Amino acid sequence: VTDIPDVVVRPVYQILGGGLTGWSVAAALASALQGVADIYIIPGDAGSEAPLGIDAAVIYPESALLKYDLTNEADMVTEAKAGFWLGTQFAAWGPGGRDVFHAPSEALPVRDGIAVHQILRRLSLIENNPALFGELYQQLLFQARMAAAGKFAPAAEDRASPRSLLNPALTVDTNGLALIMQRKALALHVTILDAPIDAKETRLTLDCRDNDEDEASQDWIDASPCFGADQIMTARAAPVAAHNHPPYDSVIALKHGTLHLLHLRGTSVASLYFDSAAMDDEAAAAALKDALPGYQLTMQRSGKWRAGRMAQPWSGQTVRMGPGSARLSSIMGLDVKLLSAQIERLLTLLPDGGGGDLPSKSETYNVGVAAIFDHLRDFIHMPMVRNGLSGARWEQLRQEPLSNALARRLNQFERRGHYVMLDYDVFESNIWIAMFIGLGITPDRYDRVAESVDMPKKMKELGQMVMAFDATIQAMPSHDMFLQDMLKRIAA
Amino acid sequence: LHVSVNKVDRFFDKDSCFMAAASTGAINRLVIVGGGTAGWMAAAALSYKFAGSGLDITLIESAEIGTVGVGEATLPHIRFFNQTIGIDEAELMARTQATFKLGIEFVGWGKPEERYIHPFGDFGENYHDIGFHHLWTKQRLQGDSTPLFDYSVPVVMAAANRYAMPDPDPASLLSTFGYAFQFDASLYAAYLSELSQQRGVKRIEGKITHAERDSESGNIDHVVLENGTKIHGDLFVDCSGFRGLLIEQALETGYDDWSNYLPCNRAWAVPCSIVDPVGPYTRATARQAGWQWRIPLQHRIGNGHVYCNDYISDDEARAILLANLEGEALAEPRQLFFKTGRRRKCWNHNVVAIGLASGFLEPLESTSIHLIQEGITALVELFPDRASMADDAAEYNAVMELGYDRIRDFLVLHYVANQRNGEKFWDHMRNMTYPESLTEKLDGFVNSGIIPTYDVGAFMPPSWVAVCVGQNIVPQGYDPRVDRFEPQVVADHLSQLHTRIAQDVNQLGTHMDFVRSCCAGVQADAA
Repeated sequence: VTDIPDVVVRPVYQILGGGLTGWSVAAALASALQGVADIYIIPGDAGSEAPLGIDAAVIYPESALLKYDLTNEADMVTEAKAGFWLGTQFAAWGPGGRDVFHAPSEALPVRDGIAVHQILRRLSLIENNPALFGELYQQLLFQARMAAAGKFAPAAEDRASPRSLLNPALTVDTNGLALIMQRKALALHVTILDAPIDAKETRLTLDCRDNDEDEASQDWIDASPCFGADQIMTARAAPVAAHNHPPYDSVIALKHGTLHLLHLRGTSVASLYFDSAAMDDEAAAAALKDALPGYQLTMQRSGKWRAGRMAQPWSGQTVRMGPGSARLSSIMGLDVKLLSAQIERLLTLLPDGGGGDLPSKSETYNVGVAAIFDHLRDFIHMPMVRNGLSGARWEQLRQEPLSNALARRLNQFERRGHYVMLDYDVFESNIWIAMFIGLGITPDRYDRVAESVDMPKKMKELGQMVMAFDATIQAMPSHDMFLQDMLKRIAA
Repeated sequence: LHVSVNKVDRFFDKDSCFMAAASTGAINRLVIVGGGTAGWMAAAALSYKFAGSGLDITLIESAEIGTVGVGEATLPHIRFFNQTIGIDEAELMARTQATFKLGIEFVGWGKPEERYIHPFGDFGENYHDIGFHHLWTKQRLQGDSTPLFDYSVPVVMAAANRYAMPDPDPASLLSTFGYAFQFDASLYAAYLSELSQQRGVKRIEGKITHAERDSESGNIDHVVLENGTKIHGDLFVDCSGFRGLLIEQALETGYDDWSNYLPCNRAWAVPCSIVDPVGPYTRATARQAGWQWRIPLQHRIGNGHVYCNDYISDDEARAILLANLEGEALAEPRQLFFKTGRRRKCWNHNVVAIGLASGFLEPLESTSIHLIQEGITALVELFPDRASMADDAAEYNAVMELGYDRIRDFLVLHYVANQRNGEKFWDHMRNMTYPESLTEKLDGFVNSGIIPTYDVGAFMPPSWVAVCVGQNIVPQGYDPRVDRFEPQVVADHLSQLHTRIAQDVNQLGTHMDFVRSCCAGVQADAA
């Protein structure tokens, strides 16, 4: 009998699949467990092509990729064709063909505890002019107005500056970002393997592959009806003539589909979500071309697309991550936002190795990720059902049933402009409210508390705020100019 | 997107006369049934929030009907409530004989000889995004016996009878706590009554005999006083206490009985004199079939014994209370009867029940006034008009239901986590079937230190950690990210934190000195 020396067994984590999901998870895990775990990645045959619909993304300031110092603004601008992102334009989706902007900024300061939209609703009732409510509210959306003007300047810390309201994100080429993540992961000693290890030998297997079979499985909760699409066609779209790089992505309603255009530096990525029963690939390609006359389209790809999520992405010692486990489209960068939420949640719930914690941790992960998905799905479902669009496709989409949470939210806002706060919500109240109003929802009435407002005084105050916004936007450089200066600074 | 500048000027800079837009369905007459803490809190808040809106508020109370008035300890949320209804904190302290509160001391809830403080504040500081209790768990598993509570500023302050306001500098350890008040509920109600009446609330002295309903809508049309006076209202706020004069007696709303989870159903309450300087905390001491509260104010100590009469007689319960007073009893003990639970709808037809009329949860975590506050806040946010009252009521009921349920789970936690073996009541509580929602939370904490996180609710993660660890439910595992730091680095970090907390707290003055200085300014102004 030989004495067995005490050996500290290092936990093993393996990541199946490369690409942005696999390498981001690897880098995040390696950063969180520096030196105390062996992390392996099996990139497989992911190749250099991003999964369909994930060619470009929005990286929000609170993203796990930035929070855990896995990348930074300068790297993304130079290596991932990044530009700044202030919001999403739903082109002509509003009442009367008006654009609707989702621009997730900080909330306006509220000194007297009475939300601005309540005061404006009171004004519009006094004036007997319902349209006034939305029109004036738009003037107070600093970030959305800046986006519409194609301007950019960074957020300011000084609360007296309108720029303190800004919360800009970045649009990135996901291939470029995946390379940054790969570099980071390898620097943190993640090891590449050719073949997977037996899952039983690992503390956790993070399956980051994007398999069509997942979406066909019984564990998949389908959200495709919200989009009226089962197929996607993507293409690189290079502007034919020089133009200012818009600091927002655009969602364009087509007769048989929804076109999403996300801009990178020097190029854009177009994704057309459509119903295969209404349009084949050939017709989709033609629709794409027609919708983007100022762009040259290349690298066209198409395939099946199914929005939804797995009911139990963490099961036993395996966690499914990325678009293979939850998918909501590239609009607003939702797919990568979901990935970021998954990474963040995973890192706080890593198993301790005893095994006894797995049921609690997997349950906590599954509940939280599902709730975040559902809130995001509701948020994107809202413009699909409450818009000013015409045509059979949009009429039909408006008939799709709402989740209970969204129905409750819409009801409360329509009745009285009230925001319903729910657990795990992703967006702050001001972001929901701006979207409701942008879509033309005018509450039937205002909160009684608004009766106590000294209206002339308040209107003067708001007027001064609007003037300050006007002057600040006026003085800003265009987004292009800002990016050029930034590149020069980085190069220097 | 852009509206022309002229148009903006026209509306934003308008100085024409703005008339209140009277909606056809506006609620113009609001009647509050019952004074006491709930009634006057509602009156003060509604009269302040809806000042100038044309809302006519009437409160009916009868000197013949006593108030329960045991809700004397509060949660930090009360400060926000007071601020938003225009109450000056120093004046409140002086007018209500208040003291500060940094948490609740639980005596004998784990093992009989143990005690801990559930503080209003964090434990330690998160370390590289890792929850502090994970660092502490690892140190503990490695043999470090330093109690978690030594890393809580409010616990150390409370134990040392020290007090100061939280430091506004977030870098300071003295910024890591919140505070509440312990006050004389009857003085608080009197203070709010004065404020409310100054703000235009009409007070009617009278006893309500019954309420009349509208035959079509089923809404309460008016209430009738003993002298035959009819008081009409568009909306009624039922603050009539346990009996639920409108919500139950008139509308028969129904009550969800939670006695299976929280079986205590009676209490004796008595004030006593102060012997020693009082500390900034409430105390809840486990007794053989319930628990005893101790709430120190400036001029007296409020005491009460909550118990379950299946396990102890009323006389025994009374004797236990009187035998465990630290000063002389200042009155005869009063007996209270209650049934833990929640009204099936806190808002039914045109009646909103607030306070004990909406439900009852024993005051173990000082939630009585908190629930009143939650009810009022939700009512202000969802203040109805006649046309859409059903939608407003549905939303209100959903909000209150969740609030009640989450507090219930937190209270049940204290009981199921007891280790008072061999005592009939406590054995029963430890072994009872408890809500599934609580089972999941407990399993998560024991197995891996996971704490329930949610955005809506009174008790946040540090509260769950306090009660679990305080009653010896200690995580068996910790966040493996802690392992990436050298053990000595973590040990040094904790040791330094421990020292800093002790040093910072040591520099503070005593609680009662702070209370006196706080009230002195108000008294000087009054003089």
